[in-house]
Amino acid sequence: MSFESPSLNVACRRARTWISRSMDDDLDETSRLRLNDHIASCAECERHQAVLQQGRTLLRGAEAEPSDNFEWKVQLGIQRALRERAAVELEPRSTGFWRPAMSSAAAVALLVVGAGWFFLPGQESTSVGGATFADPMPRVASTPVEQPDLSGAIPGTPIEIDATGSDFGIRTVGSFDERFRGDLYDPIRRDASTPDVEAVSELFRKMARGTMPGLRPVADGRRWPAHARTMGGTRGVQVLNLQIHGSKMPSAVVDDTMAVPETPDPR
Amino acid sequence: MGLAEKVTMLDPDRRPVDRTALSDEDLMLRVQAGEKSCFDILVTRYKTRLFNYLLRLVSDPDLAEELAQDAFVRAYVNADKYRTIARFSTWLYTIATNLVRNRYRQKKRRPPVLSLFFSRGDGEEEIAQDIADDAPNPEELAVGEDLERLIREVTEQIPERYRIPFVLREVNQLSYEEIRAVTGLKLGTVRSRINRARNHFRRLIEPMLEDGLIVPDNDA
Repeated sequence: MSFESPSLNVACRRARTWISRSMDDDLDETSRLRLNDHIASCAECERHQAVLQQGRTLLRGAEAEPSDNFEWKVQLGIQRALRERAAVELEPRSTGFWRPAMSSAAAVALLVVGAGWFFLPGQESTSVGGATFADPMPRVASTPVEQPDLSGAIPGTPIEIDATGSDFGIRTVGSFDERFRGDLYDPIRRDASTPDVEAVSELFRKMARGTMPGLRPVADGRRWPAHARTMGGTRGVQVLNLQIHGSKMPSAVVDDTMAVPETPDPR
Repeated sequence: MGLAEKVTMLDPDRRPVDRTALSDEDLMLRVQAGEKSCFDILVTRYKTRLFNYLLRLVSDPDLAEELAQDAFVRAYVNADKYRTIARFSTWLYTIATNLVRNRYRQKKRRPPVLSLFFSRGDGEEEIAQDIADDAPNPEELAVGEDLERLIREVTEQIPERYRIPFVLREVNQLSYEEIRAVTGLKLGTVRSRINRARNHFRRLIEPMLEDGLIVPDNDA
């Protein structure tokens, strides 16, 4: 189906084609001169050209931004794809009667691994930093920690989960609060490929000193690979998940943060 | 050749290199050589462009983001297949376009089942049902409405086969040759599809411009 008016004459049809090509600098000089002549005497084609130019301006001006955790999701997807590829490569090659059965078993295993990937919080440890971009994952969480229920959370109210016994390093859930926006997000998001280690360290120091009353660290005293990332929250509540490892941070900072006793309840 | 040797070949002087200043193609060479962090730079560089391209094609922000992420994942996982004879952007758009085409095919294979009638429940009579028109109407398009969403809804109404070259040209500003490479269409077909898409677009956008529902910012 053509959107051109059926009553459009041959000259106008040709002019529309030329208009389209002229917008892309794909028109020879002779055709351009003929187009200009036509437009000078055809108000409808002149209008056509003007609307298209305005439309182009609109199209190029109306740009949307992907979500803030876009990079993190890409990296998570890469980790998953690499794992799946590795699983396929490790799959024993068999023939004959057992082959379909083994394929099914491998598929089920992949599904189980995939489900674990999504539902075990301890697996969400992809780094924002390029340095650990495609590193192998740490251990599978032996004691899954339930995700906090944020559905009824009130913005500005601190939420805390206890990571003791889990495979998390420090897992801190902070409320989304304008007061902390800069402190929490800027160090990490300033450059997603290279988190500002110093700024993140300072954030931990603040948490350790209890100077961020809306945020409390919950440490289990163990050290886990370096991560600094944010997770999406619900209903205006954002979840921050920070993990620190000695090899990526000055040791003093690690000691400062990992050995933190429970901070007093600021409320 | 080991990864360390490959990276050394890329940095013969062993001087610190500002990765963010490298071209897309040089970054991909480094990704192939094992510098995985270089891919982060490419993601940062292209995420908005790719997301907007896909958003114009599928009109669903969540799906567009999912497809964009999938495209990056595939680009990374298949980085060894990339050859520098093609621009990275063209290669990335090709991957994304193929993902969209697959979505279109899936959609066609599973057409939504929608009855035009509903029963009153007495088994006797079926009554015609009003079907919601998803196209924007003037009441919905109040002044101050989100321009991005309006444009998305307009673009969605351009037939799929014309939409891909049109968006690549008008939004992402790819050349005809690049669009040919991404879509696999002949150059003449690229030209004619863009022209046809523009005719559609004009018909869709003109009433909104006339009604003052959207005002182009000529500084954009």
